[in-house]
Amino acid sequence: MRQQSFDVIVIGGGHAGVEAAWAAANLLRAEGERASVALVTMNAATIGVMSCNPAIGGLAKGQLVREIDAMGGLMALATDATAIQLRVLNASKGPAVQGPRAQCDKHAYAEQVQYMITARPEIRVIEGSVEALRVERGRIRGVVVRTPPVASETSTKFPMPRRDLTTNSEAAASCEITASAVVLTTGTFMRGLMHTGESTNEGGRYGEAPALGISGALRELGFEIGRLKTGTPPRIRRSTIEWDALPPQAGDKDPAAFSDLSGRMAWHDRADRENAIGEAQRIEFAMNPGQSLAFPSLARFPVLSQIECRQTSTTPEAHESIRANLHRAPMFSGQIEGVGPRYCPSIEDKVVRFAERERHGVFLEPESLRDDWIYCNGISTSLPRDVQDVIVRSMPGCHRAQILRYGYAVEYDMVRPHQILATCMTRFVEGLFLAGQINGTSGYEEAAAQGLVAGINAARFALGEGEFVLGREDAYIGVLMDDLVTKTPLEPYRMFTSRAEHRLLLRSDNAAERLTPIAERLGLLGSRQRESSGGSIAEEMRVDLGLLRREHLAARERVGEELNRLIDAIKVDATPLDKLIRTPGVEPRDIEAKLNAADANLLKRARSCGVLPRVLADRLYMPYVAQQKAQIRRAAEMEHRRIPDGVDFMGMAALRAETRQALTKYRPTTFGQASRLEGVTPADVMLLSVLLKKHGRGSGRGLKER
Amino acid sequence: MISGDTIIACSTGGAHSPRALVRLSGPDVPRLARAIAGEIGPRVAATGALRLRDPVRSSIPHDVPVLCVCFAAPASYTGEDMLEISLPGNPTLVDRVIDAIVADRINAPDTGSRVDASGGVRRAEPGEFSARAFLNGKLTLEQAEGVAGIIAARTGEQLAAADRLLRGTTGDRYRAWTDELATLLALVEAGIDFTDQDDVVAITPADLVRRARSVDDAISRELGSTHARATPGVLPVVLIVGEPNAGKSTLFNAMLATRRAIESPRRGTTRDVLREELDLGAHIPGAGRVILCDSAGLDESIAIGPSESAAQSATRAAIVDADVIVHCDPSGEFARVGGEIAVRPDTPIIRVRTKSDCASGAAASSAIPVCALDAWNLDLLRRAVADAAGVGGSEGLAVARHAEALRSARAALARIIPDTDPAARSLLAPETIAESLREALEHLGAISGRLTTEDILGKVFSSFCVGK
Repeated sequence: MRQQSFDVIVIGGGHAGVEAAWAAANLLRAEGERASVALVTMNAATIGVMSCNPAIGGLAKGQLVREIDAMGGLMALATDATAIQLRVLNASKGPAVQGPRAQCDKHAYAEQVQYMITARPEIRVIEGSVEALRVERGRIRGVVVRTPPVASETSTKFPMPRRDLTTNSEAAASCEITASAVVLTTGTFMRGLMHTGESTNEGGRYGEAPALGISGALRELGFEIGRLKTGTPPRIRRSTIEWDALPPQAGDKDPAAFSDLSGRMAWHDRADRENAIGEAQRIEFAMNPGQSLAFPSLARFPVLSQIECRQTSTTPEAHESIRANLHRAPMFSGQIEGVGPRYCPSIEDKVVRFAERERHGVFLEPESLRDDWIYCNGISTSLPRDVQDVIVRSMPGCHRAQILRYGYAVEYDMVRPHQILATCMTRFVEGLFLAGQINGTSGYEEAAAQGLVAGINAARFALGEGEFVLGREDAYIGVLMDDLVTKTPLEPYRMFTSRAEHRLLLRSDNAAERLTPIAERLGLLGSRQRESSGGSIAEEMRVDLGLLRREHLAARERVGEELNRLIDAIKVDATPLDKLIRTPGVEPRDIEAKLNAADANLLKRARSCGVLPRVLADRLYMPYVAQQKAQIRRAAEMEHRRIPDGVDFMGMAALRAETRQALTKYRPTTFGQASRLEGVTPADVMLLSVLLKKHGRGSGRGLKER
Repeated sequence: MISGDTIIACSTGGAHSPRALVRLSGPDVPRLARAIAGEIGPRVAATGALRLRDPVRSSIPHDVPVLCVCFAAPASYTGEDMLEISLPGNPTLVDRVIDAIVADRINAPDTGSRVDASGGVRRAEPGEFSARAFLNGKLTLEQAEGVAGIIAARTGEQLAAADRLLRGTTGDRYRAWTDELATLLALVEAGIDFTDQDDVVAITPADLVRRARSVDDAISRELGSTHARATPGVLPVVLIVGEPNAGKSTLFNAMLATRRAIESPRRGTTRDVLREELDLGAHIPGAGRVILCDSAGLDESIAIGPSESAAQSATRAAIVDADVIVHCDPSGEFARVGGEIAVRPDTPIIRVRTKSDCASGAAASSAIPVCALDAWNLDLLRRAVADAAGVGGSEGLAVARHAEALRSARAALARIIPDTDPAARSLLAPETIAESLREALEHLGAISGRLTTEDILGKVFSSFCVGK
């Protein structure tokens, strides 16, 4: 008899889904054979697949990944285990706007994620498509899943026991699984429609069927559904490119890991010592076989060998052909109703909007060490195949290139995010959470960040605990959630550093200091002692990761304090070193040279535990950060003050009509959210606070029972 | 908006009066009280001839004698620490004292520019003192209705006031600066967020500084002109002009509610420029006083004798000197003033269609139709005069807020404009430049409407080919 009841069900095995399942599993322990989290996917072999560019991180996105890691998430570890090129973008600019980026082996990445998910006894993977949502009295009860007749035997490639996969040999059947919380991560699959030129196919990703039932179910529940589109470029065969003739782009010489844990766990026999990062700060743990398979980057980083990319560009000839065939591009012929992202335009978009340009740069990026597929970064398109042939073959070095997969655009349904709270829970259905592209975002990292928020809150909801929300001043994750609930995205939402008003505070170098203590309080890091873990290898692993993270943060704090004392003690020609750090034109390496001269050993330790960049960045931005922190403190009381549920804003005659409408549509849960709605002035917020206090004290007029 | 900061406002209205009361409330009060009155204990009223000075800018002409009373929380009107300063009731003086306190210059040693982390003081939103009192439980439930009403009414009034101010050329200037700074920010942000894109070329430091400086210069000129207009103790001059027999003297008398000028259907009755002080506050709450002038009709054809021609040149001279011109024309054509008759370029002209009870002539849409005989629309005209003369009360407040916002914007811009060492400043990191531009925009946005990140990103996407 298969288990039919869980605490949390996650639908979808993409980057939002796996992060949600992982976070929920971090909070909900398995009891014996009973898993607490179900991960429902149409095909277990596609869990963790990178549908578009096999890269993680970048500007602002890299910060998101670092934050996910500091909260005990999955994405950074999977990235570190499978990265084949690592580069810090904006390395010449200040630390607040640098963005670590990794290109991953796409096969290895998906496998790695599947490893990690399957290694968790808390998570059970169920193959099938969701046909209906069970909702009773405004609260989610579970989902109806149609399971395939036979689970495909080749669905996963890794050598792990497949106990978690359904091995259902019966005929296709619908079954109901129940849970008190459900996380929906439909990605591009909800009524997905793919376009290449005049031909359209139903589906959310090449070769995969769309999810048709869910959007209807959501509509019936009263959700307002929107439609967005995104696109992907052609992939070509490396052996058909004059690879060596093209200018190379290499990764960083001394690449930094995304996860605080990577490189910090020693093998017991210490034979592998040379490969590890900074021996001084490594923590001795026995690594069992499960850990070395699921978390290879713990002991050494990078894990895979590193590759180079190549650069090429489009040509006037290709632009000519694009212009001549615009009527065959679904975007221009009106075939696509969805709105696409301005920051990630198709090549046909670029040629039309920037008609004066003769060429656009294209990066040729290897997708894997195991095959010779090359991703053509820069020519995302929905043009027909014959035009794609012209575009690709006119690029220098690609005259004989073979296209392995043509580019396509995909349009899909999304739920307009003013219908969710900053916890990802929907306003209409208690216990139903939405994360990822379904909320109108784009990008693996944005999806994963929402998955983390949804997973934590779904688990807390199942446990009967209160909601968890990060503020805009805490994390990019907080900025992302706040933006989603206070604005309606007109195009797929992507994170930029410019969206974070406190970006000098929200850096990738201080993610651990900002968020790991919060993760600890939430219980995401697991119990403190191995003895209490119950003894299973999986449980031990989880405890070890928590211990490793705590130790790491404690070491950073210790060394950071020492380093700060050292900085305060150094003067260079009567100028305090602290002041020198803020002097324009003084490079970080100049500062490091002074520190090295003063205490080489301390500098080495500060480097190896990763605290050096944090301390220097704190000093660099000190005046601005002090001002921002003062501002945050002043606004804190109002920012986080709650607006009760069910307030009748339309009945507040003293407010202007525009204000009443905005409040009614977005239903802000805090005064901070209210102040960021379009058409709401500071005076409106003050008036609202008076009106609400009056309501609260009086008869409760205008307040509905929940 | 209510937060843990300190607010300031003049609680006695904008008009001239023997004494004015400036109130402060919030956590910064003890520090300011010490700066103004020296060490004073809690709940102790410090009284006596204290002196206010502005040693940094010398914006206050002489040391001002004041009376200070300090109320420690929670025993105050708002329930927070409060300071009340009683000072001579000259609106301009009150304004400058508030400015100096907001800029933290009161009785302060000149420490030059500083990044202020303490929070400081800002001008209160309408009804904010009462709102704080209510939220701190100092007002009853019944009084809350009143508070809400006050906030709603004053907010509406102030929005309308700011709107009136921004509708003309002032608004165009503000919008132009906001637009230019937003463009600069977009260029800087493009250089930060889209450098992985091949097409984006960030703005050069030299260009950035040049363009930021030009905005800063323009704001500086604007601030200079605001100061010039508000000369302490001098009332603005409002001149009534028009063709002979346009009804100027009748309007003059109606506004003053006396028979100061001789009214007659005969052309050219008025020859001298008559001057009378008019207190607009009698009809419009919060408004101040002006000098209202009646003048001879503008007509060369009747200038036969030397007295007539002297009257004509006196009127023309008065037009050039006037702060506000009220142009009367029963026909509604309003052809000559500002056309063949010279007017200073930035002098506001209020068009009034007199004798509107006779309803002859074309209806000019921007003109105020009045009838002096039954006082129809005279309040509308009084409001327009008060607004144009800068004594409208809420406008006065709006003007002061504008000046405060402009000065704060300049302070932010100063961080990216090199004063001594251009080479050093050009090495500033783009993220800190963006921070300063953003802050300057935030201050300008307090006047001309906030810009959102979406606005900035929109500029980036429209000017660069970003995206891979």
